[in-house]
Amino acid sequence: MRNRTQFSEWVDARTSLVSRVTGLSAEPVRGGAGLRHVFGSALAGAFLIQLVTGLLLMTSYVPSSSHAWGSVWFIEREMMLGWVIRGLHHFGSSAVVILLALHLVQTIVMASYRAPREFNWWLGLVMMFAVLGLALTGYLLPWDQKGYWATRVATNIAGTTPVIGPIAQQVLVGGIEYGNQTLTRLYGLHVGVLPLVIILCLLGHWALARRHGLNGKDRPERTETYWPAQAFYNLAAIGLVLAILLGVVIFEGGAGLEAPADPTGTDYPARPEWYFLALYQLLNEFESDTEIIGTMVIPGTIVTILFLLPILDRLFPRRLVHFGACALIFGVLGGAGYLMTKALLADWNDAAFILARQEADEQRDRADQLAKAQGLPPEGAGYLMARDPLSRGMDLLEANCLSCHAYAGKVRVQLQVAQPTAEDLASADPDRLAGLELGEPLSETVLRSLAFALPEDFEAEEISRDARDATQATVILRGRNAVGERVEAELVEGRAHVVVQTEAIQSASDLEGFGTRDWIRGLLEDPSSPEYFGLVPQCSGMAEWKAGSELTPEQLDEVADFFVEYVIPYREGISAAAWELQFEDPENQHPGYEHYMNECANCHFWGLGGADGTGVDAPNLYGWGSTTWTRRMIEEPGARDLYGYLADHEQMPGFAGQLTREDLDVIIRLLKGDFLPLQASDEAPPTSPAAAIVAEEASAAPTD
Amino acid sequence: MNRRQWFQFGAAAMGALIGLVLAVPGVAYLLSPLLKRRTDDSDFRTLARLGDLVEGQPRSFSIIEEQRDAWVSYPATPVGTVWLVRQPPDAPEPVIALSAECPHLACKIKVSGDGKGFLCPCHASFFELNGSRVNRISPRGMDTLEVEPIDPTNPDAEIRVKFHRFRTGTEEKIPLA
Repeated sequence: MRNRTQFSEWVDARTSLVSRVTGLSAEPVRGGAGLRHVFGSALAGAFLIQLVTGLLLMTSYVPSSSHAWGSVWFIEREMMLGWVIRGLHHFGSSAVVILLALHLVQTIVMASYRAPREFNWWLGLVMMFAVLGLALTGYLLPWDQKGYWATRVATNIAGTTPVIGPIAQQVLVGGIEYGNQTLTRLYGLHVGVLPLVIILCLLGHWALARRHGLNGKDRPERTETYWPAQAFYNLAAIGLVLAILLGVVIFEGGAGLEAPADPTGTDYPARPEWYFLALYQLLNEFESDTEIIGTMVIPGTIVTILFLLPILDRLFPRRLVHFGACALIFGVLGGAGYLMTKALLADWNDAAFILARQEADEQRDRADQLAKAQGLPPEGAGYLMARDPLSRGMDLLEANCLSCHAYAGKVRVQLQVAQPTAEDLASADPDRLAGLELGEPLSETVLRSLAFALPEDFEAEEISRDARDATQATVILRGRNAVGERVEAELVEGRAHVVVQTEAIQSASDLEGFGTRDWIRGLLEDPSSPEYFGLVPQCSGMAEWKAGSELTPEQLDEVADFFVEYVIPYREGISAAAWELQFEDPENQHPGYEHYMNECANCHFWGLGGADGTGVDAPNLYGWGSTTWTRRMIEEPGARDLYGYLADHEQMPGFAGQLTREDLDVIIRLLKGDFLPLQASDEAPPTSPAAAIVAEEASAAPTD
Repeated sequence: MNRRQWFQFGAAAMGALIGLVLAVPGVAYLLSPLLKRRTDDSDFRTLARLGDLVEGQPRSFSIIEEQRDAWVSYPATPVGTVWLVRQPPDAPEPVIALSAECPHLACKIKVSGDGKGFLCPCHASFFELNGSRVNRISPRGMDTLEVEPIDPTNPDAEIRVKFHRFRTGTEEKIPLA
């Protein structure tokens, strides 16, 4: 040891710190220094990395259901190297779990659970649970889709524990609903309770390890001390772990953040972190009445045996117990590996999962784009998507409107993924599709898959086989069902699933741009186009007007301008009569108003117009295109001043009471095009769902 | 270099490297706020009309702005206050604008009880109606803000002011970027 300075003498005289450290450093390492002793230190080192990065994250994170997502997004996208810090913390949890498993295996293989190290063993097991608890609680904290849904599942598993389950779940979640209390509670566990448990156990674990010395064969010829030889190996191991972590973080571009948690969403493909996948799959192995075997009995038994190992060691022949323990731990790891592979393969081949994953990716990118461009609304991340016409608005439009209307030429497409089993294929009738003419004959399997996937009433019209990609050929079969809807089946040869799309039949106008100048100008130009009233025979009035109208394109422009300037900017509380008075003044006569009065006003009124405003077969246009008018049109299209003149079965169904005010507004903004345009993505969007599935399968890494 | 020295050197180097790999992103992360430079996008904004102001009677106006607080965007809310003081007819400027943020420690300055000056309620800094210091508590006089030139004879002329914040506690008026 180097010479002590006066200062260290001074410190040592008062604290004996220096001599303590020197003494520990000079301790000989049993059997000499080497890599076989690094696992415990590497684990402690990985834990320390988690501690440092975790504290850094704490300086920016907010445990609230409204703002957790935003704060994590901010760390990830706005703070300098925040993505590295969070990435290290995220993947660091995997490193801790892996090193823990290695340390555990080594301890069992070397039978280090035996006397006098029982307490080391038990403290180690307690820490193992604390670590798994950290992994579980940390998953939720970003309050994104992934953490939210995975935690719902995890806490519900806890809820199936006999007797105390439901109470434990309610206490953990902080009530019945998942929200602020869930976050603050799990956050408290994650940053306070569990780390404290680990640190206290670690101190004991370490002190006991010093007391009993390292386990292993004595090799008298090797006389290295802890410092510097073993310290070097330990630091090298920690350095390696850190290097791998950093590599993974940079390769993955950080930990990633899904769209904000949406408790109303139904199709998020929730999966736990990879090290819990085995448990997840174990759960799937059992039917609901025996599920508890997978969630409780099997894991519980393993844990109990591990805890009792030092005692079993006394009760039974030691070598037998050791053999049993080794068999158990390798059995558990092997079983976990098998279950994990099974879970990954299942997702790999599950077209529905891949589609859901694709949608989740789109939502993730959209959330990121919105947060970047506009920031989060003060009410929190939950409203980020709910107020986005392209997200919530488009969902509502698809669910409520696009079975009749179109938007930008697209009607509702229902997507189904059929995954026939061998029995399904055997029972399918390929003759249904016999007589399809294609250059080369389709294989029996392809025909049977298509026959299984397509509805009974399907009438084939056209089939094509695209084999441009050398590795796979795509077969697309188009036709119609009995109602006349277009049905398209897409299948990649050699794959088990068939994607079937059913397109609704458009029977009403195209809503893109409704309430804007473009829409009304287009209507005035060609009312019988399918974009307007071409598919709505009961609204033939405009086409009849057009046939007899002599307004020039310039005059039609003026009418459209008049709408933009005076009609669409409707102000609540001004009666139609008061509003119309402004045009009495000849000075203020808009040319569009004049044309309107000459041609349109024959059918359309402002307010009460003529005698009672209801005698004419046309809707009242006062405030047309404004949010108020459109909202009313959605809620009560059959009102007397709107389309009440039509027979009941000819009217659009009303949505009064079915949509909230916020939902109506977000739909109307979608129609008017009032939203942040979708970011042009770097990659060309996949042309079809099936192609997307193929692309996804080719690129997706199975882990994480 | 013998084996022991090699280990010593290696352990120290490895420890330093690990520390560095964690410290560099950690420090960068903690220092992020320093790098966030707000670009000077503030514009002249209309606060009042000349006719709204009476000589010798300062009036305060709110600066209303949409605010971005880290990840949250707040809709337009008051973010600051400006005192507008009408000047005598012979003054070079018809109106001066003074930020209500005290240059001492950023408390909000109000009109003093007698109405003849400004007072900061936190540490009793007094200022004249033109913003200059009466006592020496604040390191400098109240911060004047740029006012767009206007026609002093037109009572309908809009008073347009560019709002800015300045560093507190310095004798010099240094704009906060």
